[in-house]
Amino acid sequence: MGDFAPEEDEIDLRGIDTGVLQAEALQIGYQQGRNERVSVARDLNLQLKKGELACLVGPNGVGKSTLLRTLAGLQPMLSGRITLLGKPLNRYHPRELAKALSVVLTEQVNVGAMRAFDVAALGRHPYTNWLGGMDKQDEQTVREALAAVGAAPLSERFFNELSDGERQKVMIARALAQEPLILLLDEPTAFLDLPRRVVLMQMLHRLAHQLGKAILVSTHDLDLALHSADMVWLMDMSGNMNVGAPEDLVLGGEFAHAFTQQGVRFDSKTGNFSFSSKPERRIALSANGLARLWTTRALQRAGFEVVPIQMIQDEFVEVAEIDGELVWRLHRAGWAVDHSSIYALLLSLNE
Amino acid sequence: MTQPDRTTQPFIRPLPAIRWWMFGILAILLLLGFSASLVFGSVSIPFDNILRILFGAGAEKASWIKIVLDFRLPKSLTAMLVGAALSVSGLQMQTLFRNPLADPFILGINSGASLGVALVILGFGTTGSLLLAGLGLVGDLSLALAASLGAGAVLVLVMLVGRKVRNPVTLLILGLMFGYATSAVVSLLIYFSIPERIQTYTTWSYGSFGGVTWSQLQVMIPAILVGLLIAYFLPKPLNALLLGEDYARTMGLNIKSTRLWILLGASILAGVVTAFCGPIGFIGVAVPHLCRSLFNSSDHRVLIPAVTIVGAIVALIADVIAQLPGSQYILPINVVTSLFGAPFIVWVILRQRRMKSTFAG
Repeated sequence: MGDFAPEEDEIDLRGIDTGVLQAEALQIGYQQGRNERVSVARDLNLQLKKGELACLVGPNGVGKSTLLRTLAGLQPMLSGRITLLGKPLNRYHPRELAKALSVVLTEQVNVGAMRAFDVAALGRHPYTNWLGGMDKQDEQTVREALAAVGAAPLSERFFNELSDGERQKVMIARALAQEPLILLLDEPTAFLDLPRRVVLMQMLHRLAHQLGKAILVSTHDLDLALHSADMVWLMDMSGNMNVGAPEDLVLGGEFAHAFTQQGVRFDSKTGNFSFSSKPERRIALSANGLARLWTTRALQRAGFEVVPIQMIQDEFVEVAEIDGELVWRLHRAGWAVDHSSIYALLLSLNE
Repeated sequence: MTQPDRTTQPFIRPLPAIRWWMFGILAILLLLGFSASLVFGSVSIPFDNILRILFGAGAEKASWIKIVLDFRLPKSLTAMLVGAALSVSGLQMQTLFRNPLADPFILGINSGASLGVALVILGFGTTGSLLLAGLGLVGDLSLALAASLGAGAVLVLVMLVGRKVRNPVTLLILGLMFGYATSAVVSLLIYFSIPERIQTYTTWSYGSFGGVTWSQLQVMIPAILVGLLIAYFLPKPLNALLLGEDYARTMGLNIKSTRLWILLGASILAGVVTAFCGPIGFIGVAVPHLCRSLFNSSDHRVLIPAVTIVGAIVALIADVIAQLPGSQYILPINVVTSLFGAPFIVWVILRQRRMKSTFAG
């Protein structure tokens, strides 16, 4: 673990308490043409802390990438102040900055014929001599970085023969090999399927907590952020930023506000999105446990408002267990029909 | 997961993926190619005599000494230098522009040189060339001078624009447009010129290793060495650029100065070659791909020395073929590189199916 912490004489420890990366009154955006500056968001006051995983979330197009790239020094801020370990970002020498902060970007890279190890080893760039030669210590750092993301078995394989998820791991290993205190990742889950997204976020959470990194991940995947982030930086379409633990933002209604669009609703009870089409019919449901949860979902999708059993007597669904099999019994005006699946139930409800 | 358990997961040192032994073979091929280009020519000279001449021990015929020392040796040296220069330059351009079709002339160095030469050969009327002849300026040296000035002007232009323009694609398109503009001017000059002059210009545009004299080599060798030296200081930045400019910047690379050094070095190499030998195509674009396939690597620490040697070998082979051993004819070098080289490269690449996978773009 000590291998990943920067040398003590290289960091200013005063910054640790308040946040290793801080933005004050930050305005981000880009230059368009010669004189016109397009502002994406302003008055941002942010801090990224050591040992924390922060998720920058918001709908597509709110400027998550712009913010991340600005914090990484890849594009200039329009106004305000960014300090890294107590020192203004623009006062950093490129190599000094590379030792404190590394990034994983959205773009897919194609490096040609290079082994995964060599790609991760590119992260040693700020430390090696003019030829890029690595000593034992450098090699060890690269190996540990690969191991930390679970990519050690990939070391010998050619980068261009890896899957998207494996490449992503190697690129994160490369970022770790830079031995930064701060790690910024732009939509790292974009090309991954759901299980791999979860695994990736777990890994980032672990890196933050075990290696003491300050990690900022941008994502439009709200579910993931809710489950894994210590802090959520929530951007809405008007460029406002709300910061807090994910649960605080749910309770405060900020999530619902930021993500509510026509036809889609953020459900503060479940932390999920649901279709918010107006329910056309009501139906009562009598069921327990998992069967209740998933039957309710299906009925909602089909346009029903699900109500407790007491309210409507003539039409209701009862989930019963007969000989170890679940049966959906639809009661209608005194007679009942059994259905062997939710799908069958929905079909007969829609008749 | 905690720290990697080093007892259960012993790290194997990354295998020498790089085929270093290949350099041994390449060195032998280089020696063979160099010998062959000294041996073959319109006059047949036995190999032992060539060796004796090279070591200053005389020869059976006095004329052979002159042929070997004043013609074949400078020509072989030129071929090696040109091959190395164009290949290294092409490699740098391909990586900088992340474009597999990039070559040393992509920014219009050859266009500038062509314009300079065209102005000298075609531009001056009869009185003008009489004047030049009177001043002793017409001849090979004046062509080299004109081409140098043209290439140098473009180089300065490229450096100035390179400082302003941030996007490499913009730079690429500017180079392309500049090329179109100059070739239009050259076409115009050709259109209004007389056949003999057009013939002279066309001959220059075919490229040649044979026209370079010892006194010209005294300029050419140091210039190419400077260009190569710059390239040999750049493998690390070039490797970082494989990930793209954004990543390279976040790894601490000073993109602006790196790009200017690459442009400067690559342009010197391309400019010097064009000035003394004419616009020689194909080598600069093909040799880097060939080396990526041969070494199965995109690592510039391998590729730069590799393309230097392979470029020299390819140029020597082209020179031998151009001599048409056993005949009195000499083919233009551009014809040889493209006619014989292109099918060979196609064969190598199709056989290896690696060009796409070995190129970073």
